[in-house]
Amino acid sequence: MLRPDRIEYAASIPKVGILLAYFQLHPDAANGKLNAQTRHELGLMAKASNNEMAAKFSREMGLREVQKVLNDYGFYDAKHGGGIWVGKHYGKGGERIGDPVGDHSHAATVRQLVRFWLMLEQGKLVSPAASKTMKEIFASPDIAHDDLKFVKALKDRTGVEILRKWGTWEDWRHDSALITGPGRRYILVALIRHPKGDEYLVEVARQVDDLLQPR
Amino acid sequence: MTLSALSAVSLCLVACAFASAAEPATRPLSDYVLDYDTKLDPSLQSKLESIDTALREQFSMTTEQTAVGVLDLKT
Repeated sequence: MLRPDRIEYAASIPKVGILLAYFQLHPDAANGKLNAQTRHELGLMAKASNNEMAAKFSREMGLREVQKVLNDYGFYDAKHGGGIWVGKHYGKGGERIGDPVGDHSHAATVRQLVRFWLMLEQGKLVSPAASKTMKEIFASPDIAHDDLKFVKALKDRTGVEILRKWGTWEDWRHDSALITGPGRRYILVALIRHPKGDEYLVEVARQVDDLLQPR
Repeated sequence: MTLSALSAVSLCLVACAFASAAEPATRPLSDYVLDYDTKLDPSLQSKLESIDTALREQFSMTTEQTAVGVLDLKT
């Protein structure tokens, strides 16, 4: 990992925290009683990065409650640089709680995003059943992937499946993903602040995928 | 995610980008913990550094502008 604990403004990536909090705070959803409409709306937030849906869920739960869930999992630790932070409802205006390390409204570190995908893969987020449902929501086959960053890089590679959450605001260009392909399975996270950040993300995904393919 | 894929995951071993050379090369994925003290795999770390260095040079970026992590969940 390179600069894993440096907090960055994370744009839409912390929507993963809203998804986690939803399942943590809605036991029925974690027990397989998620209705089709809510599942679709969570998919719009997680896969299509829909701000309206993200704000709907974060307003329902409250920013402090969402962040408490993240803190309880250790996804934000001010003593170690911070981590995943949801301090503002997505969209314009409203309540804002800056993160203690960087005063960002939405933040993340590479290490904590890798941990998020790892624990999701391990079935350790809320419960194995809830983790499985969250993975299904990230997959949401009825919602198209946004064809950019890691997905743009790997879309033509045979058998590659990507669960991901990306983020963009001005020069902040990020992607984070659990990537599976023939003979390989890995987590890749890259947080970039540069006008050519998307180009970096495409290239780093291709080169890491080349590196991890079986010889 | 299919059930068969989930089963495969449950059986897979992780040879992780963060394991130290002194630790076992593989461990059950379910037992793996990523924390602030997790050691890096020198080989994968070196390759990731090389990729990042080349891309930063290509796109005129500094180390302040990129942060990257890879965790290899080898099956």
